[in-house]
Amino acid sequence: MSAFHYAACGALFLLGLHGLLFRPNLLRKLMALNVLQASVVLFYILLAAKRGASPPVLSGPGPVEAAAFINPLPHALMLTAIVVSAATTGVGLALLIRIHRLFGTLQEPEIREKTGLS
Amino acid sequence: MIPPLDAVLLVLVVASAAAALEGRDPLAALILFGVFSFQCAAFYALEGAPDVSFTEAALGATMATVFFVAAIHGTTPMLGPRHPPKGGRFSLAVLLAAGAALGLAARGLPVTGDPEAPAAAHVSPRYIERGAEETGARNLVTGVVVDYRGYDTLGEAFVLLTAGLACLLIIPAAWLGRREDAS
Repeated sequence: MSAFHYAACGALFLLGLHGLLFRPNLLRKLMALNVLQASVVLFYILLAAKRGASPPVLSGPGPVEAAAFINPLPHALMLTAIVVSAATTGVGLALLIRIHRLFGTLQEPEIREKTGLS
Repeated sequence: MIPPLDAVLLVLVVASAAAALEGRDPLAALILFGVFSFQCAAFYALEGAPDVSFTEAALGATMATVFFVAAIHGTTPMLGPRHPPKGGRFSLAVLLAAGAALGLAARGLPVTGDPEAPAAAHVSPRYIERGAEETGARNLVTGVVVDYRGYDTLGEAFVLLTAGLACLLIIPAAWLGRREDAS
């Protein structure tokens, strides 16, 4: 089971990497970046999981066993990661709108042609 | 045999990501991207991370998808003619190399759900056992986010502010409809 979990993470990572490196459409590239980030978040959540433990919210007063609750630290880090990923997506989209204004397209080959960078 | 729910969800997550990134229709890709995010949120909830699940559903699935739709709406013919992915054999080689590296690295990973895993050692038991008493938060994730790692969260707020400012600075000329020259 755990190999399957990690394989799914790896598959998402590779999908994102492929989109980021080899897709000509900049919008797709941004989506691929999001998928890549999601694969990392997924990985951290899997590392935090404990068999038979409950989510890290205490139900009542009294002493607490560390083994009875899922590790809250990766969850806290991933909250930050998700917020930052939404922020970068926003800035990326703003840049895309600007690029589209300038070149009339979001396809990398056409943009390269118009800038003479190809 | 009925496969466990998390295996089914993971297959769906990977399938919707593949459909969003590799599919033909860019508008369908947007919607599939939203589907992908919501499925991720469901998986996080299943793995016992309700806070991450809420955040993903609100920010990753809803807000990011709305951003994408708004960006497309502002510039309708944005998607343009389809180009095949470049790279060909080279891209395959890169992916194989990256996959092999991941596979090699994954051999050292702990079994998922292992309570003795390195991630569950060191500082984490302290957060769980003393968190409520030291921070006053029944939700331990809240305790870590706003108390133990409050500076991280402050940094996150700065990132959000910077991103908002960057969007404000980048977009207006585009929204005002001034056509800029490509030169």
